[in-house]
Amino acid sequence: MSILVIAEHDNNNLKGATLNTVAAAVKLEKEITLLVAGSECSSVVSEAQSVDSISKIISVDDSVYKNFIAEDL
Amino acid sequence: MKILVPIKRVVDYNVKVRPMADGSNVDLNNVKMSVNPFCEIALEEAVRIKEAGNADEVIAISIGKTESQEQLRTALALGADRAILVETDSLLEPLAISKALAKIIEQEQADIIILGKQAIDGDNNQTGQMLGALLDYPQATNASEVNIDGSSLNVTREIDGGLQTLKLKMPAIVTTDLRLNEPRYASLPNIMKAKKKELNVIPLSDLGVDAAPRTELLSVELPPSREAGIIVETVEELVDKLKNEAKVIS
Repeated sequence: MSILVIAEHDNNNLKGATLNTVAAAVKLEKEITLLVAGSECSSVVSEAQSVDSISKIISVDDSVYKNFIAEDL
Repeated sequence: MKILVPIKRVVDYNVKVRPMADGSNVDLNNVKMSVNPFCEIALEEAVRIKEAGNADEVIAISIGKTESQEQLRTALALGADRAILVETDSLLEPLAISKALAKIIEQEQADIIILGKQAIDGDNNQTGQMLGALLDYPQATNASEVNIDGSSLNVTREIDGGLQTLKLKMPAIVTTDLRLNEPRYASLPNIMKAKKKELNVIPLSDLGVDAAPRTELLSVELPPSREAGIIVETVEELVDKLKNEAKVIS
């Protein structure tokens, strides 16, 4: 089993709730993949890289994700 | 233009609910049931859109037991033109509800679907979003303002730290927040008229959806009761308690 966590962020910083989610996911499973979908959000990715419990980060950087519309995600 | 409003029968918001003795579920015996307050807001918005001349028909729909007809009659008294009950004896999950709604929406060709953002019993906040995904319709959740602009809807949403305005192409899904409007009360003449309005009952099995549950309710319990506070005599005692009892300082 693996767990996908979808990062909540504002294209600059990771929101604290994502860390809560990751902490909860770690209790269920060690393999955590984080999806960072945003626009020009490299600072979010580097912030996520510093979180130890995340084993893999998938970053999707495109202008369609700028406003975090659910339909596109 | 047609507006469809799903209505959920829930425990009245004034009732203090208790778990059953064996903790298997919430005790619903002899408890007053009502229309979910967020659904009332959704219905009010639909009726206002119709009254402003922007819609021809408002359809209320509920999925549940026969008793849900009471709530649909309330919806008819509040201004819905007709009602549909998809009847089932089991308590469905949001996914199954969304699938059944999607079938009805395809049959009715509704242009706007307005739902409450969540029901006050399950607090799931899922049905609107799942419906959007199943139908591939655009959605605006937690709406605090809805305006019709030709073939689009402009919806202002309440989000963290402010408001967001979205433009949606119809058909579209809107879920309502508390501040969208203040629902009216049903007048006596309208309650009488509601008894004559059309209410169709369709068995869930006729829709051919997979309504099997995906989750299982394990137990329901009350939150732990809070213990009374104490008054400490001296600062030393306070520090001692913070250190040794609450363990918030070391």
